[in-house]
Amino acid sequence: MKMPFSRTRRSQTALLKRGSALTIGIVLGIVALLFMLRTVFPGVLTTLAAPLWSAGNALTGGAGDFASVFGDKAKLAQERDMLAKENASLREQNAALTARAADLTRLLGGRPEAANSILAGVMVRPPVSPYDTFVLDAGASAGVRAGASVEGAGGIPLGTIESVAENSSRALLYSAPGRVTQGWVGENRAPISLEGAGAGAFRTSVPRENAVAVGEVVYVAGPGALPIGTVVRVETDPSSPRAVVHIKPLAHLFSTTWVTVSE
Amino acid sequence: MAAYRFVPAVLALIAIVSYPYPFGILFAAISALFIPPLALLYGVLFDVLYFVPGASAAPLGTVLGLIGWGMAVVVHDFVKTRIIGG
Repeated sequence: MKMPFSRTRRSQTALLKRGSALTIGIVLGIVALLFMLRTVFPGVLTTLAAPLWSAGNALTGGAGDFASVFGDKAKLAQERDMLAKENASLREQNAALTARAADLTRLLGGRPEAANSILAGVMVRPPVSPYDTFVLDAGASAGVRAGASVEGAGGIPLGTIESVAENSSRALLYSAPGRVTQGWVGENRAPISLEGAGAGAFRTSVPRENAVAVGEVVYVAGPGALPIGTVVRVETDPSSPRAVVHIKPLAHLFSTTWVTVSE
Repeated sequence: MAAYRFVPAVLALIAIVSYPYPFGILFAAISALFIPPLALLYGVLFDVLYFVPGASAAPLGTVLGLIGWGMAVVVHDFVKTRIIGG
């Protein structure tokens, strides 16, 4: 029997409405499940996502290696020679500074207790993470605690641990947009408030008479003053008594693979 | 429901965990045009995976997901009306 057109259309509309309600119900159910997992079992989602994060990291590394095939060989060799020279020069400088630090420690006395550090792999970093956070593969079982500081290669301060699961943890970087950290700039250590600008960068404002120059090193408090970045641009406005200072991080967050976590 | 509607949804899921976040947002927006509530789902997924207290005043993924859902419903209904109504 042939169904009238209006009746067919009505039944199709009812079906569509039922389908939409079902889709919304399923999606809201998954949203509720995600919230519950994050609250009750914070490590479960990290464990589930870990293989995908590893695959993503491998894929990015592989793409970089593949792209290097097309690079100019002569230019690469020249760059390698230049880096080798720079490395040798830095090694000498490092040896001199180490000797000087040892002399000063002998003269002034060192810290009696050694700082305990935990080595952690970075599973996710910006720009995959939109909040300037790291997801680390070490958690409470490895001794990571909330509030511990996270440092990159060479002891460069990167951020602090904000949440810890059994086998993973999340670190909020000092450069997270809006995060304010106290620090100093330049040889005379002029105090500044560093404001995170995202993707590892910072900005601050200083009185114009402070005369901050491009290339000056910016420090944050740690054991002493730890270098965190360098001044790359100073913006002055004749109508404003303050200058805006833009700071580039010393550590390259996008390619950080290992960090140390210390109390 | 045609299978092609799920392609951007799967790509969004992969992008959120493996690629820079603008790709995740792009694919989430495209998938929301086909299935509007996915905007909220992917916004929440961003927050569940990456948000920590102090990173921003509010979990932006969830907030943007809700806004995206609303916008996707408007666009979705507009497109549907145009197609059915002619």
